Amino acid sequence: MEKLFKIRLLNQAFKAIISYSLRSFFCLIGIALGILSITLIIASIEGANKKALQLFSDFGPDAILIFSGSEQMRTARIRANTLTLEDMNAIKEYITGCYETIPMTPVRNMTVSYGDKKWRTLGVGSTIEYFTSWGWRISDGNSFTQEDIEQYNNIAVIGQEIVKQVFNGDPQSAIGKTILLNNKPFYVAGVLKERGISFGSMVLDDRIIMPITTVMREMLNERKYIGAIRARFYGDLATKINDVVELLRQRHGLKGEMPNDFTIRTAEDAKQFLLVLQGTLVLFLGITGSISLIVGGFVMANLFMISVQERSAEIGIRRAFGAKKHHIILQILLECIMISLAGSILGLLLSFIAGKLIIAYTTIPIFFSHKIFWITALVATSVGVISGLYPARRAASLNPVEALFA
Amino acid sequence: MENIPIIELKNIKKSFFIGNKEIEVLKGIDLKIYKKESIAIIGQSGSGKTTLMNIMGCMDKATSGTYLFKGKDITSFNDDELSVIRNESIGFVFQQFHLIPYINALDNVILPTIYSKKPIDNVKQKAISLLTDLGMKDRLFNKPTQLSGGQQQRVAIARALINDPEIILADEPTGALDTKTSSEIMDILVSLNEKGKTLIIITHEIEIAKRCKKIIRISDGKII
Repeated sequence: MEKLFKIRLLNQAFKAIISYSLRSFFCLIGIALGILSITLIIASIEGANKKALQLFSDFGPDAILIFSGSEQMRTARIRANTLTLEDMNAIKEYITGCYETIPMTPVRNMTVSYGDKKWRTLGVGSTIEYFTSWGWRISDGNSFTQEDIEQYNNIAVIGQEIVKQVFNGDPQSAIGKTILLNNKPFYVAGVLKERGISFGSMVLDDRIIMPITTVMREMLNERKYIGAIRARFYGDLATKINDVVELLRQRHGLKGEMPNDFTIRTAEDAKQFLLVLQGTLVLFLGITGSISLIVGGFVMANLFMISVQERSAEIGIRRAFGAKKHHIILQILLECIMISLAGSILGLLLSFIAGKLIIAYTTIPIFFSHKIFWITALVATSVGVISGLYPARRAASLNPVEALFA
Repeated sequence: MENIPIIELKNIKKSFFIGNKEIEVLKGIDLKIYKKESIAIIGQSGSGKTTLMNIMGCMDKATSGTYLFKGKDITSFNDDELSVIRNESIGFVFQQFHLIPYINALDNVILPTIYSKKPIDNVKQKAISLLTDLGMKDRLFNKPTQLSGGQQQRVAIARALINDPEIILADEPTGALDTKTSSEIMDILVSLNEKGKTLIIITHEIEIAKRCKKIIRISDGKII
């Protein structure tokens, strides 16, 4: 009986919403915009977390990255050369639990040209372990070999972004071709499998891998120094990092208070970086989302206040035929809740579209999970209840006689 | 049973404040209305007849005096308890019809059942048959604005009857209608009384009042 009664009131509320369609529409739009922002916030937080997790496992939770130059120099973007292949070998030799070391030397803003196509990308000189260690797979062709490294061969493995920009997206057509890298001819041996991840403005697939020996001698004219070392360890990473710091300081002759002339990064740092990046978006959307929800709620409360005055005869009629105060309150509240739920559905749909656009045109990760539905439903219901409460109480407190004959 | 009035008012007074000035609209009304009676309460505008109707209809409370409904003192009933009496025992018919504009005739008739605790089988069927009896069979799904005054009042009468109340309380039921339609509506109300409803009509027209078996005149807040 009680249940049947609720369905009847729901039906009354629904009919009222339909008849006062303009009022309902304005309320609905306000709520939808608020929900749109809230949804995007949640989706971007979830996307960031998911990406951070991916990044964490890509980087390797047991791995560290050692760069040349101190922390301060890196922030000031001053490039310094302090790390050598000997440093790397020392780490492998003296630090127990170190099972892998890879040297890496970047060639920043390297020009790629093939035919009339030109592109700027990141060149990386490394060893054959680079691919397995970073989890890069070869989708077409082959990797370079140990022999290529020993013989300083001009051979390259290119990322999918290069295929897209220079080879019209056809990886097969790239294999075996000779491309110019900083005006030096290189043979394309293979193509990296697409990662599809980006990292701020850096697209992971936008890179070309070459033998480190070739890069040092042919491109950089560098005999001693390398850009970075990737090392992986068994055991507690924090103590290994301490060991590495001590070893390198000793090797570089750094004493006492002198700062490190190298920087160590872990997966944890990479994650932090991503989260800071995401933080700006979250802050922006958080503020706009809250404002539009509050405004939407106020608009709804206001329109319902006016509506209650307009509909005083209706309220009087309902009261005359036996509606109790709480029936009136419930009906107005149900109207508000239904409108805000409808608004939240619209907001969700808009956010799916917006999410698709964000994914297509920016590097911000967006991920929609089922959690979003529950949160938006909860937010929408609360907004409906909060903004409906005052008009509803006002409606119920109308004197039936005055309401009828006003 | 017949000797217990369905409505008994004892020395009912009602005053309103307009600014700081207290105006006494009802100055001590004593009235007994028995089951199946048909009574017209007649008076000029400002005589207090509408205020009296509101109090009898449990829409308003007296300033002082006692109200016995079916022998039970309901003077100090709260809002919810009065709502139940209105819902179950009183069917209102108003001068301005007072239908809800955005729902159709059928839904307007069903309205009082929404707030009723007592289970009614086939509410819809009952509403349709009430409307059919009142000659509104072809107008079930029309909105009030698509109906003439006489048709709207028929819908209002059907609404007043849906919960089977003992009392029909009509406030100037023909006040907004032409002479021909007025007499049709009065025929309907009188026939309801003949079928056993207690009929109370508030009016200022003696011709309307004469259709009832008993006429009570009210002037300046008192029965004369």
